[in-house]
Amino acid sequence: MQDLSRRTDHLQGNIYQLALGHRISGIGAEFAASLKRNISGSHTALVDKLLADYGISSAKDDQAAYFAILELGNDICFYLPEETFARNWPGPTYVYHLNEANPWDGPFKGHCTHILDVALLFKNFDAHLDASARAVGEKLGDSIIDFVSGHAPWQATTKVKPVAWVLGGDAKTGSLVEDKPEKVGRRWTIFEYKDTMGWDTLHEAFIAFLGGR
Amino acid sequence: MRPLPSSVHEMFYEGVCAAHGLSDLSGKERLAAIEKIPSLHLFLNVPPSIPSLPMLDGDLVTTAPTFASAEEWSGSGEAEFPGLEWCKEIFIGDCQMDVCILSKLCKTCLDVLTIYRATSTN
Repeated sequence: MQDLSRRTDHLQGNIYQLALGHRISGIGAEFAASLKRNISGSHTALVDKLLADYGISSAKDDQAAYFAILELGNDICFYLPEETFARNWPGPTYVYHLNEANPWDGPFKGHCTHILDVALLFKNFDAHLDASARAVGEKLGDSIIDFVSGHAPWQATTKVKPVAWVLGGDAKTGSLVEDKPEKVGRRWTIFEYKDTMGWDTLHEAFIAFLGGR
Repeated sequence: MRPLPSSVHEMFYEGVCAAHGLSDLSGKERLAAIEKIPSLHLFLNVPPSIPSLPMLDGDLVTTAPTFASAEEWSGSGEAEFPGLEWCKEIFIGDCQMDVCILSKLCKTCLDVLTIYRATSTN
C-alpha cells in the first residue's frame, strides 16, 4: 500500500490558497494551540502525543505541518465516519476502500481524491483514464449494480470478521481483505484515541479549528 | 458533515434573501418573489459563503449521530434515526484522500461555524 504519511512532494502550492492559505504560516503551532483550547486540560498529554503521532509537532516546515494536519482531518472527518457506519450498521454492510490515483494535474494529482469513486462509477471521464483505471471503475460499477439488484457484491462485513473490498492503485480491480487500516491503505493511528480522548471530542476540536477557534 | 439546527439555516435563508434584495419583504412576499426568480439566477446569486448543508428538520433528519451513539445502533433500544429501521443493507466506502474536499470547503466551514458559534452562545 502506498504510504501517504510522508508524500508531501505531492502537494503543490495552490492548495493553500483554497484552504487554510491565510493561516499556513505557523499552522502547526496554531493547530496545537487550538486543540489545547478546545480539548479538556486533562487530555493535554494525549493532545501532545496525537500531534507527535501525526508528525505535526515534528514537521520540518509549514507545508509538512499542513499536510500532516490534513491527514488527521482525513481520519477523523472521513475515514472514521465510514468505518463507524461499516462497523455498526445493524444490517448487511458491504465495504470498499478505493486507492486509485487521481490522474489529473492539480494539488492532489496522484492521490485518491474525494468523489473519484463517483467519477469512475459514472464513466464520464473514461476517455481520459488508462485501461487500469477504467477496469477499477468497471469493478466498482459492477459491484454497485449487484448491490442494487439485491445480490451481495462480496461477503458482508461483520464485527467479528470485518472485511472490505480494496481496489485501485496497486490492488488494481481488488480483492476482499480483512478491514484493518494497515491492510486497506489507511492509518492505524487514530484508533488509539477512541477510548482515551474520544473521537467525538477530537472531531469537535478539529471542526473548531476549521472555524478559526 | 453533521446536520445543523434550523436556527443556523434561518441565517442562511436570511443571507439568500439579502443576496436577492428581498430582505425588506414579508415572508409571504419573499416566497412569491423567489418563485419568480429563474433557477439559474437564484443559484448564481447565492454567495459561496452560504453553504449547502443538511438540517435537523425534526422530520427526515431528527438527530446528529456521533461516534459514541453509533455504538448503540445494534442495541435493543429505540432507533436513533428512522433509517436504522427501514434501511436493511448498505454499500459504503471511502477514498484514501477524501480530505482534499476540505481544501475547498474551508472558507465555507469557517463562515458556517462563525455563525453557529454566534447563535449557540445567544
